[in-house]
Formats: sequence, C-alpha cells, structure tokens
Amino acid sequence: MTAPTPSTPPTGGPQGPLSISGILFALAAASAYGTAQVITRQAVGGLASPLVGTLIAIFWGTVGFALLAARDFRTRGPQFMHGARFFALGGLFSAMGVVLLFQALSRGVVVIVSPIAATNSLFTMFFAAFMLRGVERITPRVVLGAALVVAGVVVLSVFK
Amino acid sequence: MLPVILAVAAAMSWGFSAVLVRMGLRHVGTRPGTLISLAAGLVFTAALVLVFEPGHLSEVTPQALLLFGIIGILNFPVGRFCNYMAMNRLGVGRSTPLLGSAPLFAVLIAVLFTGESLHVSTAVGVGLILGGLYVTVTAPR
Repeated sequence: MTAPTPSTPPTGGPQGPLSISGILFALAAASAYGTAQVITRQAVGGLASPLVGTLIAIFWGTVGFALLAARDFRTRGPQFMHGARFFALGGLFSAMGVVLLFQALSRGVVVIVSPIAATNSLFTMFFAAFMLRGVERITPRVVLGAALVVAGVVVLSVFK
Repeated sequence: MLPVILAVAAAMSWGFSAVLVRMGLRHVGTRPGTLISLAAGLVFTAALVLVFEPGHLSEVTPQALLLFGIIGILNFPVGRFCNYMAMNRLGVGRSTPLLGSAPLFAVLIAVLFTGESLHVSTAVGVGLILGGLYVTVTAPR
C-alpha cells in the first residue's frame, strides 16, 4: 500500500481504531445530502430539467470547491496520477448514476425506482469485497448494517 | 421493466464509484481527489446537456441558478467532501451505510421545518435506519 500524500494526514484508517471524526464526517455528509433532497423536493420543481439542474448544481459545487482545493495540487505525491484516474472514474460513474436515476424516474414510478436506487450501498459492499481484497475487510456485520439502512430507506420511500 | 433496469444501473454506478474513490484515496489526498471527481462529473454532465438538451441552457432563470447553486454547494463541497473524508477514515464498508442514512435527515428536516406529518411507517423506517447505523458503528474491526 502506498503512503498517503502530504494532504492526507494518516488516520486510524479502515483497519485502525474506530475514528469518531470519520463517523461525524459521514453523518455531516448524510445531513447535507438529506437537506439537499428536501430543498429539491420543495423548491425546484419545474425550474429546470433534471439534467440541466444537475449541471448547474455540479458547476457551482466544482467552482466553490476549486477555491478551497486548488492549492493542494502543488504537493503531489509520486502516485498522484495513478490515484487521480480512480477519482476521475469515480466522478464519472457518480454522475452517470444521477443521470440513470433521472431516466428511471422519468419512465417509472418513484415508489419503485427510489427503493431500488437506495440499494447502492449493497452494491458498494459487493464490489468492495472483490476490488478491495487485502485493503479492507467487508464483514457480515457491516453488510447487515447496510441491509438494515436500505430496508429503512425502502420503508420510508414506499409507505410515505 | 426498463425503469427497474435503469434504477439498478444507477445503484451499481454509485456502488462502483465509491469503490473506485476508495482505491484513489490510497494515492491522492481527499481535497484534490474530491475536486478531480467533481471536474470529471462536470465534464460528463455538460457533454450530455450539450448533446441532448442544448436549448434548455438559454432558459435557465436567476432563481434556478440560485436554488441549484445552494443544492450544489450542499451536495458537493459539503456532502461529497465529507463523504470522502469519512471513506478515508472509516473505509468504504463502514462509511457507506452511514451515508445511506441521508433520507433519515431528509425526514427529520421535513417534519421539523416543512410541516410533514409523521406516520407509523416513518417511525418504522427511521428505526430500521438507526438500527443499521448502530450495527455498523459497533461492528468489530
């Protein structure tokens, strides 16, 4: 395993002691995504097509984040380009997921499409078990936790 | 059947994306990595808009720019960066279920600020999500 770049201070990592800050970051991300979902549902209907809306959102997000992160490119580690390819592909697949979801929603009903989309964490576990072998352990208990969260999201989506 | 296939493909894309990012985090810091992923997503989405909906760009109103701007700031600099920080510190296996709890926050905000009512099914869903978070956080490493 390659050492992290200078901008990534070593942390507990996936196999080290449980990181409280990691849990707080995850919950902060979840609350940001949840807040954005409420604003999307309440305020943006009909303002722009979903695709154009996504473009505007990701444009402002990229511009805003570039102001914070541009200087980090000065301290590049030896494996930077190798890692950058994974991030670029990750961004591509993430955006593709959004577009596919909009296409699914435009052709189907939300009570079927949303619960299926919510199973993404189970796919993450599946891919991680193969692609991150030797990097991270995917235990049955972690899979159970993900399955319970998915079940909860399905109940919220179907019976609202 | 097509909507189901598209929804499964969306879920697979996000799942695959998370694992790719976890692989990238072994070599690149969280901040530059987040910016690279955002830039790639921006190029991809812009290409789709230019091919399929070029006329829609000229119809964008200042109100849409503002509201989608707020959504963009919440989803990307805040949401995605915190997501990748969590992935870096917890691993993808633990951070993903925690991130999956976003609808829980959406329900809380909707009930507290927009007057949506709380049903029995909402309580069951919230209970399952909280149970999943507990199982994930307390899982042996």
